[in-house]
Amino acid sequence: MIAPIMNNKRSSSPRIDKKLFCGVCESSCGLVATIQDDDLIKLRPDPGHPNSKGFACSKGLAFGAVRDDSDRVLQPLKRTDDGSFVAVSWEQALDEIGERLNAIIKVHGRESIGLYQGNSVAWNFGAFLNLFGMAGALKTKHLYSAASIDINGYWLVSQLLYGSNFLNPVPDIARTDFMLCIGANPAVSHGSMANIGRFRDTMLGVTARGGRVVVIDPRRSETAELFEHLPIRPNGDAWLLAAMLKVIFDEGLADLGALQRQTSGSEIITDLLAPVSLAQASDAAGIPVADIQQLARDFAAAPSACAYGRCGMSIGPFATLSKYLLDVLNIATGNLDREGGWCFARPFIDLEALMHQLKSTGYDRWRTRVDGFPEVAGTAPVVSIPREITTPGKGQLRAMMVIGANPATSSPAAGELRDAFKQLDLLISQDIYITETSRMADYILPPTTWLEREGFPIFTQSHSGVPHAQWVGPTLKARGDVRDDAWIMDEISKRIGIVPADFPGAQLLGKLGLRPSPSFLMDVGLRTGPEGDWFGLRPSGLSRKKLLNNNGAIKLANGLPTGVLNKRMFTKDKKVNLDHALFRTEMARLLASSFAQDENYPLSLISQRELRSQNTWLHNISKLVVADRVQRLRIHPTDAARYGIEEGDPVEISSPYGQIRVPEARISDEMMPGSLALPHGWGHEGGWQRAVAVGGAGYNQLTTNRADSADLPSGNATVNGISVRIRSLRDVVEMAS
Amino acid sequence: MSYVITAPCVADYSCVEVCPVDCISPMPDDSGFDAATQLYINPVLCVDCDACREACPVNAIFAEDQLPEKWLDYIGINAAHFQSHTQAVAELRHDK
Repeated sequence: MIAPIMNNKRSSSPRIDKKLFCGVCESSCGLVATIQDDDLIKLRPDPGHPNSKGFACSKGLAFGAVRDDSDRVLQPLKRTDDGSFVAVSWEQALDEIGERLNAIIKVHGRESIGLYQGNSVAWNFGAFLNLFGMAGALKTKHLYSAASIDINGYWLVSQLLYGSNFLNPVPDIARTDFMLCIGANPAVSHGSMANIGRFRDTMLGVTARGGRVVVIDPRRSETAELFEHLPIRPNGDAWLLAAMLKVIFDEGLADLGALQRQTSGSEIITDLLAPVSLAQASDAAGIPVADIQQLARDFAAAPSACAYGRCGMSIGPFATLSKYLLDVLNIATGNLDREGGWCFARPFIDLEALMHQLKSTGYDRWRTRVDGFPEVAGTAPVVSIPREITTPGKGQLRAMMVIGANPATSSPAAGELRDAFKQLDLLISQDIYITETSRMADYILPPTTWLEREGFPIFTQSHSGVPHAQWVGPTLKARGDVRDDAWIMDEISKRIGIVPADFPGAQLLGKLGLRPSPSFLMDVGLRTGPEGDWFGLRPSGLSRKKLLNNNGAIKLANGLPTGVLNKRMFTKDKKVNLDHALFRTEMARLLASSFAQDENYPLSLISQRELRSQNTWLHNISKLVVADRVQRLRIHPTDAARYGIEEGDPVEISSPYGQIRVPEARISDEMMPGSLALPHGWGHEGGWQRAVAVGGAGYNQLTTNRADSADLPSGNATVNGISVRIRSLRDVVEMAS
Repeated sequence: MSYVITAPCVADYSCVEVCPVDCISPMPDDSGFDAATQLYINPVLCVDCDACREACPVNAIFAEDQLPEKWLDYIGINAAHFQSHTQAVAELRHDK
């Protein structure tokens, strides 16, 4: 075993501790970086952070190894005719990109330029602003986000119910009596769409107080192990939620006063529930009627309760309807905007109001060119990308900038996306590695990591269980010749004559040589917002400078605010708008859908997140990809016996769309019979050696991007509940050897 | 005496890397490692060298006699992990 060699270099420089937050996942835990000269000595959790209170996980603590990775791209690369890369200067790369983009724009127009943001942009406010700004300035409809393989239904529901894509209630777990956790595994993921510090501990606190936590999941996940577990068939969530609501309304358990007070259009609920049958829902969800009834009664009877759901219910064919019913369940039981319920957080920069003022939020203001999907928050869905590239006509996608994303693996029907990408006139990748995506690019432009750039948690601050403010400068000097994503995008914008901003007058300012930086714009947003210093009129308020000078995060309140509904709604009547024709259509679609398993593909496959994995950039460091780590398919003993699978067997998985070989089966009753779980994020290619060496197979070779397979209102890809069949490759492998 | 891993553990395994007697489980090449949200010290094998306590990034490891009261039950939890493991291995052998 190799002991870690902690900088044995002798240096007389002092070691200093700088506080920051982690940019890996939505926990955004407070960290302390110990630095000497330009070296990171160690990263540790920040005990003083108001939200994470001394917690951080192995991923964030190991991120220094990503920054220092020898496989990292440290200067701009240009692909040559034989597919290899040569290093070029920033000036050469940017000038050539500018020329090529201008040539494409001349023939095909600005609307032929596409942008793709990965999940990493959520901790990168400069990239986030410039990305939306570039799309707005180009007036292109080709703005794609990894959110449409993940969570698009949330943005849509929040727009329709609360009036803004960005206003999403969070569960008040710290004070609740009953938490219903649907398709989420916070013991591993540390939470999403809920920035709850010490997520697992906060959940354990519910049961320690005498409350209950019920986990709904096809797999007895690491979270389900800790609490009550009710297994559900993949994609049964909408059925379960509809059935729970049916019980609550039929038995007179709904809080009609709250519905009257907080919502408009609540009549829709009884209309939606009228045709729902508990027996049918029970079949679809695989949960006995009596269990659904008891769960509904217990949830409604709890003094406070919150239903929280994530990937398990947000990447299926009825993701939007599921999210809607989840919110209705919280609202109809009187739990919206009350202690222990479903609450609105207190962001220190009121991004929701800013985006609302800029008219940057919305739904279905336009439709996509080929598939006719409604836009969601100004974005088009990832499932459509290959068809937008290959379908001729005005607005055909000809060039793409991919920022911090690996869609050649992470997008559904990944093979089709790769083939389509090859047909682009220009592909630019902003990435720290040569991945299976970036290696197809004409140029790889290497960005800084979150340890090397200025930042504040632009996305997660809107969901914090303990409201706080933090804004940090670059913690470490950037390695090599890498630049901030925002700078790269601005330089490209300059060369095609735009300012990457979408506010009125921005392009005019650009002509005058004024290009307000993302940090300036956000500082103005902060200073004029609810926590701001109003440019000196309120000296106790916050500004960027004040936060940068403060080593650590500032706590704004002990917990989530309540009784703020009227102040937070962006709807015209300041109430939650429940009635939209869309939900009636979706309920009819659900009731008409078949949940019987295809006899050729009798098993249902779900994707699984692993403990030390989160997105692409953590897959190349030995600290997180350890030992002889292999990709293992989880299967129930009954199914294993039926299909002749033994522990450790290599397994072939076939779906109607593709076939993969998984190195090992793990037989475990953690799975619900009939369902399989396969970790995603395997089967990498490119120049990152460790990630490639561990092998495995890409989950998305089994998925489809067919438009009619997506969650129709949001265009979100269906990547869970894939119908598959399996066979053991034990004999095949033995014969071969 | 032994060292004990308590609730704050995030299975970062910095401790495994420095343990001179490989008494911390699961090890990175054990099949249970990829789902283990906490690691355990085998009290029979631990040699009280203090290396793991120093290496732990989240201060989850304590010498048994320094354990905060709220985590006293982790003495049993650590030991039980190995008992059940030993038991499981024994049963498996018996079956075969």
